[in-house]
Amino acid sequence: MGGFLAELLLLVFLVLCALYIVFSRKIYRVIIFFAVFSLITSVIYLFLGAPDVAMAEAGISAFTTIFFIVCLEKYYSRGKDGRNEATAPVPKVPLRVLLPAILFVSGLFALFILYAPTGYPYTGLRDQYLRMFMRDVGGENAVTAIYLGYRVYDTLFEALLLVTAVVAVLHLSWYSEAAVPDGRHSELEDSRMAKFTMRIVCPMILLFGMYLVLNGHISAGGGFLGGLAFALILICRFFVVGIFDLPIKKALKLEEIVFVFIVILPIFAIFTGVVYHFWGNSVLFQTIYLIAMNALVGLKVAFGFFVLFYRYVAVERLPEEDDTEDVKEAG
Amino acid sequence: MSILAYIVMGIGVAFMLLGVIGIFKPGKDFYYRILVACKIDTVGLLTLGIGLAIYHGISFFTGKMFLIVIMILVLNPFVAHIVARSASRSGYDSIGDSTDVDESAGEK
Repeated sequence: MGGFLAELLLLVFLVLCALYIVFSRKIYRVIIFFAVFSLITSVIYLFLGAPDVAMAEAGISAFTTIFFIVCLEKYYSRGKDGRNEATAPVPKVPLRVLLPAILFVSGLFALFILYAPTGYPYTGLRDQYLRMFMRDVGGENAVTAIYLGYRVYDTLFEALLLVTAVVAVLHLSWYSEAAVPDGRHSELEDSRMAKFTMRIVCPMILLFGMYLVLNGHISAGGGFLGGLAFALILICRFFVVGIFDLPIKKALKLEEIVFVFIVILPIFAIFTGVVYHFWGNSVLFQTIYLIAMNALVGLKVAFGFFVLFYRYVAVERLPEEDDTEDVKEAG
Repeated sequence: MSILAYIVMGIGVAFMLLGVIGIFKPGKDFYYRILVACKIDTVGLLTLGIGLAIYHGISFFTGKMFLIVIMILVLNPFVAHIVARSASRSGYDSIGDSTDVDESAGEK
């Protein structure tokens, strides 16, 4: 009962946060409330018994909050007026538009409640997965077994999606080697305390990421979360000593190579069944396959997020056109 | 062994209670509050973590708990330091003022 009440309370907070995010015009506050929203969502996932998804949500919220704020600081520090917050006025919606819209939405909601399905839908596939995954794919974590075994085709396309996103960002953002800012990038760079903290914390995060990757097939975690942890190390490094001395081209090349291996490994292990044909369905090969795939996905996510973060932080905007755009946006 | 663990965890909860009372104490300024909030995070969570480690004895869980305790010990004072430092650097001077951080203080 207490768990139910806590979940209900969290859901109410979630709705309030979402309303604030939609209707507020102060962009820094929106970013902070976005982080709060993600955190509440992650706790709700934990209540629903999905620790993998909860950890992914928390990690992504940590990453994106830093990401947004750093980009915003970069954006405002290059503009002329400095940090005027986005002051676009809230458009006034007349009542004769608003009232039917509210009535329509509440009508839909009422219909949804009235015709909501009672009981579980067809659960045959779920039951089969949960019954057979240890024999079919191996490992003890059903989530890993599904995304590296039964649904590995989807995983390939997800990996392709990240590669596409990175390539698109690389080719759509203006950037030149000479435009990399040198000197101080954050207020923390001359802080000895920050350097000391980074020296202790970064190996810990690395250890945590390795733990998530290598234990992904027997406990909560997996390649994506481990890669996210690796990428967070780079963000720590950005704040304390800067990341502009790191080779971004090599990271991009390595990401593409890792993607090729991600495609090759399931072809031999799952699609064509070569491994099964020669060695049978042994636990050893299943475990090797799962660990190798988790490690590859982790490396790929780490390199991808690193390239994205680097490019967003180091992005050079074209001088003339963007200034006019700024004026238009401000006025 | 479990009695010792309960005592340590009780100390942690007591520290957290003091911290919560301190945060919501009226008439205090921002720097006072952040000092107290740092105490909740650091001492309270640290003692709770040590209590949990004692409760579980020597196991894999205790090793993980030990690492988490070290992270708390290193990170939380640093985070409080950063927040107070940013407030000080952006010109927020709130001696004798009990209101929250003024939004326009960071906009200079």
